Amino acid sequence: MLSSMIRRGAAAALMACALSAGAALAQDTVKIGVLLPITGNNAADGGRMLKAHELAARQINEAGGIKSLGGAKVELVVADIQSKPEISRSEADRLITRGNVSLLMGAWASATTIPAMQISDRNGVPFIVTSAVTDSITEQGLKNVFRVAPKAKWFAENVAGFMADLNTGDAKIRKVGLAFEDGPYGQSVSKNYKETLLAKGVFVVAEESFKTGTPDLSTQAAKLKASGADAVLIVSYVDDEVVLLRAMAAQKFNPVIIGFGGGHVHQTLLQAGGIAEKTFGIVEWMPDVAKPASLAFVKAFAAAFNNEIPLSNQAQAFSSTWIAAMAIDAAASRDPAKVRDALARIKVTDGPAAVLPDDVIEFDERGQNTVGAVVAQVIDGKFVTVWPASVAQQKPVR
Amino acid sequence: MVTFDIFAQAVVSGLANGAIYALVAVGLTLVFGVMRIINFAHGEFLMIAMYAGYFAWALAGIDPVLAIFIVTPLLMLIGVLLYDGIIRRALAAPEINQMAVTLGLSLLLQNLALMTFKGDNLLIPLARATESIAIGPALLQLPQAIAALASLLLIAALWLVLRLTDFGIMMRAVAQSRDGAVLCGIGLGAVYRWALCIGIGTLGITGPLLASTLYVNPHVGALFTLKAFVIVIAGGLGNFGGALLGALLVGLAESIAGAWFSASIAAAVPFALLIVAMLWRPEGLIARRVAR
Repeated sequence: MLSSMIRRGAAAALMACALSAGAALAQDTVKIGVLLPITGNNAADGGRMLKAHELAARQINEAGGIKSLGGAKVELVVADIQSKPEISRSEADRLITRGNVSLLMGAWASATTIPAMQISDRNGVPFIVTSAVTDSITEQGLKNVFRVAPKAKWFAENVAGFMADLNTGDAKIRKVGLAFEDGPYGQSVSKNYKETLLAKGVFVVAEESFKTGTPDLSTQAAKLKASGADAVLIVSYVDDEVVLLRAMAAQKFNPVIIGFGGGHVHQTLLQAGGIAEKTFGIVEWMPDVAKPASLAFVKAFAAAFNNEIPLSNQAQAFSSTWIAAMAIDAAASRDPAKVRDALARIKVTDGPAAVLPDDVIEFDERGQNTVGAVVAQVIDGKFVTVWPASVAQQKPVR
Repeated sequence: MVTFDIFAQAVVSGLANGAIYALVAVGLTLVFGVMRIINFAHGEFLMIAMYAGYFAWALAGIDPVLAIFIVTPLLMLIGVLLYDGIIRRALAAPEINQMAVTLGLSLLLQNLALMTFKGDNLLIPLARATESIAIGPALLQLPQAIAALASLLLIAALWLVLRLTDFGIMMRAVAQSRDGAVLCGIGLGAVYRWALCIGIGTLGITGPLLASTLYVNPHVGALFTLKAFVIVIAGGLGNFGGALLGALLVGLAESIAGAWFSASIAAAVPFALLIVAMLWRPEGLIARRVAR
């Protein structure tokens, strides 16, 4: 009887303790809004990115939280945008008006990011664009929008730069062929390729578009071969790329191959065996990027999530979260306007945020981070970063 | 701009692709000819046969050409189960309900495959996938040449069976007139069961061969379903010779359009051909019906 009363009293005391601690904690946290597709078409991507945001928040809090605010903990307020632009807009609005957030991050694709960032900008809350690449996002002069991801058109410039670096000795790339799927993705990237390469004096001698899922591309391979292209730039999904690579090999045509993003740097390509060997692919980030921060991120991610290897969007999400925390720390305030000014001045050269390929993360007057892509090559059945030299594991093999 | 070499390549590739399309379409046209049922799930049974071919290679190292002898009986069995489990019960229903049944089955199978195998592409990386045989100035990928040859052999064999055996005569009788066949003492159920058994069974040959030229994923069957329908309708529903002719025409037209313009434009060609065929010969390219 007595013992049970003591137990009950102890339990009540404990509960009171927990409650007051909880209240104190809630007062102390700094709230960062995260807009992600947790359900809907892009749920898998959203779920992956959330892991990276959470890993960064955990690291920030374990390292003592926001020091200039007395060690306040970072709290991620996650909103599900259901892979829909209109929900992204309304969730951004909800986080700003009722969520008491100092800053917003997100929101996966360009279509879901643009409405959310516009609401955020109008309300004077800074918005970090993590992974959307549509050029116009940082070309509208929105004062509160900052983008960690590159612009889509920069990929073409990176490819041109990479080809120029490959052009040592006799094997020069003077003529290229383009092979692209005819949806918005293939068309916009190949248009950028064409304009950029022509400006740099590289001839585009063939343009072959195809509908994704075309079961045979032999005739296209024959046309590319007949064009005399030294390199073929492929912008497609990985299944079409396998069909094209097989057809080119059967046509005894072995140009330099440069694929694009996740349509190339994909496990399916490695299954294809010999035809994938020595092909290149341009991509935002690779887990083997030779930077201490990047390698530490990959290690921490694998330890936290059952040996999972992160993808480029997760590196962007991780970096964005750290940048947000650094900006709040520099502002020494939860006030969105002050955080915005701190973001505009931020300059990251090392530390956990510096996982992306370029040396410095900082935002120009339009809020755009200058960041390049990397080139991965298939060497002995694995994707290896070979360009730029500053973060490469080894030199490109020709 | 199109040189002779590229034109020759387009003709050779187009004929090979056409023969492969015929390999998909022949089962569809047989089932329709005999049973008057449009099987929208045909592509999904192709997908299952492709997975079977993939796993025969991945788990047991069986070459896709040999896998035919395992996958074909499997698909024939699936055809029988399909008849007794689903189609037999839908035969008495109005046509629109029968379509709904096979359409529903198609979506069900795609989603079951998505759950079981995930959405990723699987490949059979054979050494011969990148080898080719020279036909004039054109180079034909070896796996495609094998599939095209298999298609011609299969169609010839089916034609002979329908022409020369009693079994074939029964099938043709049912195709000509259900009531007439029943009056002659032919059991409809048995003929229908065999028609689906063979119609789905032909995919047991197609599946492993296509898996080695292409890739396997839950939606791969849909790449061929629409084209197979175009071929079957243009060739005259239920008509083998028409299906082969239609398939070769579609393959050739697609490929030449791809050489002249681009593969994007080529993708629209089968449907343009269908419209022309419907306006010009609504009864099908070959009016005298071989299978019926």
